[in-house]
Parts: sequence; structure tokens; C-alpha cells
Amino acid sequence: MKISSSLKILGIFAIISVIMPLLMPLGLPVFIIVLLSYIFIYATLSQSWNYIGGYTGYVLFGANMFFGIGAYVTALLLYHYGVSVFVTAFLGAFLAAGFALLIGRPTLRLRGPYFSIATLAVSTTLSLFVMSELWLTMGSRGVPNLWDPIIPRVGREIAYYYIFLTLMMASALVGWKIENSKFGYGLLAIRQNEDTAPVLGIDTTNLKVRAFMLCAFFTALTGAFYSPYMTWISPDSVLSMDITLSPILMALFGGAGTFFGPIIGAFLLESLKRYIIFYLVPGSSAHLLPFGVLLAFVMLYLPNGIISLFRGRGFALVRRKGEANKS
Amino acid sequence: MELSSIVQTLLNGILLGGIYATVALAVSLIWGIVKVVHIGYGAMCMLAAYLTYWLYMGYGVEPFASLILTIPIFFVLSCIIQGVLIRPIFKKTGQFDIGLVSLIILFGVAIFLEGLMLGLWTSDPRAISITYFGASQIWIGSIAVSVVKLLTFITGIICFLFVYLFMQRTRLGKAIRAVSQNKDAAALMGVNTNYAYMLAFGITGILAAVTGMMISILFTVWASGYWTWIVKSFMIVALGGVGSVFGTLIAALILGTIESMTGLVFRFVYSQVIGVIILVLIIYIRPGVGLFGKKEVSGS
Repeated sequence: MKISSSLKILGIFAIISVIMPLLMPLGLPVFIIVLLSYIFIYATLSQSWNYIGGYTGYVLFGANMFFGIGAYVTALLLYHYGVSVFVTAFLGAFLAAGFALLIGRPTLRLRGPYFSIATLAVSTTLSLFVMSELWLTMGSRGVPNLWDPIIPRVGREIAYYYIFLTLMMASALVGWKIENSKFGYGLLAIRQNEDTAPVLGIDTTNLKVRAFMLCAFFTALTGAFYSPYMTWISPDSVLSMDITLSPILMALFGGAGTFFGPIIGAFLLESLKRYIIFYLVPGSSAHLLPFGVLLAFVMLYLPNGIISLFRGRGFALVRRKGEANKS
Repeated sequence: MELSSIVQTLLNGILLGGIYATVALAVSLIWGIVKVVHIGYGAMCMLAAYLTYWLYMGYGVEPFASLILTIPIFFVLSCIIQGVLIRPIFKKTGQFDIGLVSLIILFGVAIFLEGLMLGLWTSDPRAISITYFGASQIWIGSIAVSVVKLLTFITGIICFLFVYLFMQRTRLGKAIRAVSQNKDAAALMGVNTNYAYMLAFGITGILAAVTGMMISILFTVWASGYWTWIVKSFMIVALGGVGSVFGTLIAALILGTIESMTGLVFRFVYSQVIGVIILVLIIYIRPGVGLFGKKEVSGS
């Protein structure tokens, strides 16, 4: 116990020492800064998917709706009233968490795929709604001219770089906290055996809903900062299926149910995606082919993610809780 | 509002429901038999729709006739998906359970097919406009019936009868039902469970080909448009009860009617919103069994 916690601290220092150079991006070319910002965005999304999908094993197929809620709340308030994103982001995030409560409460009572199906249904309908309600959302043309009043226009890449870095660190910290708390043990108990979890006094539905709300909160927060970063949002960009797909794949590829897995997954796969859609096959959807194959491949041959390849080699940081129970 | 317009809407709703039913039938079957949620089914339908469109535009093959070609292709494709991607997960599982792993794998299939379709046919929506018997509509009094819709409705009903008779009357169908009820006992009685599962997937392939043809002549063929279809079929399956053939049909007719009735009063998007609200309510009130399903005794 003593050794593992000291190893953990050592591991955190190792991570920080790797990240420290990233904290000073001024000397880097802009495209690297933008790439890293995207990696941070997807790492946050992937991390927040991991709260519900990785720890409890309930697949959320509708991350794009929370992302969209966050993005649209910020965009509309910014466009019409000029309210800064630092205010509206939290508004959108709490709204998304409330929305998650509304969907999660009835559907997370059930086991199996009902949660996944319901979230998929709600997210597709929400994007239809956004497309059709022109008076509110300006339809498929989107909301243009989103410049935040506080963040300077010149050098905004760097400002947003720090914002998304902070978001990633915050979500990772929450992930780490979950992993080392009673809440997290409860979630893992749900994934491992949902029949016995209530016997141990775990209110499974309540726990799942809380994890889901946490997921919605962080996803919406990322979406909120995404819209002034893009300066222009549309249903195609913030409600696209890619926002749902990529975080799932990144979390599973890196190692679902660990707080470190999604970050690794996001770094590797977002770089791959950017490479494909900017250099290999210009266009925004060419990465779907390899991503689809990769998703099936990971689930079949590497279900614990690449992080499992490093496990049992003194890297205590990534050891999963309750592993000893498995044969 | 006039009575005739209400009757007209009701009729349109029923015709629409027939098409929904055909889409949902395969999802319901796979869910009931293999206990796998086929989230990639919508993408398969859309691929079939593209194929039908392509055959019609490129080679002038009549959509109904192209079924001779697409049905074998999709039967084999579906069997391959089962054999390569779904069968291995029954042998070994990682940290997640089988239902979840299959869900994610089939999601991967859907994404792969979407990428394929976007690559081959770009993201422009396409549609076949075709008339049968020299008229687009038949008039019964003051009520118009679309000929194409009527034909697809009849095709859908034929699909239902085919599946129903196959499952109830043939030895293979009985074997598949036995596997769905108790896999181990069926295996002891000499049923090859792998073969039964593969056949069940093959049937969904046939249905995907038929559904794709319907989509191509009635609606738009659009690479990313299949999510609405898969969501519709999940709604219907949740409403009608998992694995119940006639529950699916009735639920689809109900959903189609509700949608076109709401379309009469509100805008299109609200009929979709109402569909989602019904889905969540059904999941909450009658979890897993829908309106007509029987409660299962054994868990999971």
C-alpha cells in the first residue's frame, strides 16, 4: 500500500515533467499549438466519456449532444448579448448536467443497451431540432462571428491552448479522484458485477446517474470553449457523429476505466486523424474508415487498451482496481 | 380540419409504419435471438440503398429487380460480419460484457461503412424518382395513395410473413428459436448454435437489402442519414418488445401513425421529439418488454 502510493506520486511527477515543456508553447509553430489544442479537447471528451463508459461499462452514444448544448449556449449568448465564455461555459455545463439527469434517471435504471440507444436517439433528435429551429439556432448555417470579449484576438491560439490544457488537466484530475474514491470503487463494482453491487450497499442507479452528469458537465464545458475557439459553429461541426465516435475510440484504445488511458488514446489517435484528414486524404471524413476498423480491432484483440500492455511492469499508476479479483 | 385529410394522414401513417416495421424487424430479430444490438444495421441498409441507386442509375436495373443481386450480396456480407466480428467475442471477453463489446464492434462497422459510402459516393443526398403503373398516385374518392408507398408497404408485409413463416414452420427457424431460448440446451439437442447465429445474421442481411431498396425509392440516400433509421428501429423495438415479430409490426404502425398525425399539427421535428419522449417513457415504464412483450423470467 505504502509502496504503491509512493509510486503513484512518482508517476505524477513523471507526467508533470513530460507536460512541463508543453506548458511553454510560445516557441512552437502555430500548427503544433493547434494540434495540441485539439488533442487536449479530445482528451477531455474522452476522459469524460470514460467516467460513464469506462468505469461503469455503460456506453454513451450521445456525447455530441452535450458538446452541442455547451457550444450553442455559449455561441448564442455570445452572438446576441456578447457574454463572455467564462460565464456561459458554466451555464451550459450545468444545463447539460441537468439534461443528463433527465435522460439518465429513467434509462440508467436498466441494464444492457437501453442507455446507449436512448442517448443515441436523443442526440440525433437534438441535431434535427437544431437544424430545424431557425429562430433559435440559425439552422444549418450556424452561428458566425464568435469572438470572446475577454480573450485577445491576436495570439488567441495560445490562450485557447492554455484553456484546453487546463480542461484536460481538470478532467484527468477528476478521473484520478474517481479512481481513488468510494464513488469510483462503486462504479467499478457496477462494471464488474452489477448483481452483487447492490448487496454491498451501492445505490447503482444513483451512482451511474452521477457519473453520467459529471460526463455531461465536462463535455459541455469543452464544447463551450470550442465555439469561440472556432469563431463559427454549425450543427455539422459541434453535433457531428465524430464528437461521439472519437472519444469512445480514444478511451478504449488507450485503456478504458483508467484515468491515463484516454489521454494516451487522444494523443495517438487525434494525431493520426489530423494526419489523415490534412495530408493523406483531404476531406473531413476519411478517418472514419480506419477508425471503424480500429474500433472493432481494439474490442476484439485489445479490450483493455494499450495501457494494459504496460501493466505489471512496475507502472503502478495504471493498475486497475480490483484486478486481483479476476482470475 | 376535414375528415378526408385526417383519413389521408392516417393512411400515410400506416404506409410509413409498414416501412418502419421492415427496418425494425431485423434489429428486433437479432436482439431477440443473438442478444446483440445491431447498431450497424442502419448503415447496411444505407449501403444497400446506394447499391440499388447505383444499379438503377448506372445500368438501368429496376429497383425491385435489383433485389436478385443485392439479397445474396448482403446475405453473405452479414454472415461474414457475424463470423469475423461477432463470433469471437462469445469465446473470450475482456473487462466488458458481451452485449457491450458487440455494441461497440457493430458501431465500428457502422462507422466503417459510413466512411466507405462517403468515400465512394460523397455526401450529396440522392434519390430515385420512379413511377409504377404509369401513375404516381391512385385516387380513392378524395384520398390519394402513393403507388410507390403502397408497393413498398406490400413488400414489407411480405417480409414479415416470410420471417414469421420461416421462424414458425421450418426446421431451421425452430432451431434458431430454440437457440434464442436456451443456447446450451439447444446445443445438447444437436443444434449447431454458431450456424444458427450466422443464419440469423444472414436473414438480417436479406432484410437490409430489401429495406435499402425501399429507402432508395422512397426517401433520400445519404451516407450519414442512416442514424435516423437505426434510431427509429430502436424506438420500435423498445415499443414493441424485443424479439416479438408482431409486436414490432404493431409498434411500427403506431409510431408511423403518431408521426404523421403530429406532422399534421406541428412541424416535422416535433414528431421526432415525440418519438424520443415515447421511447424514454417506455423504457421507464415497461423496461425491456415494450407494450406487448412478455416479461422474461431469467435475468440478463
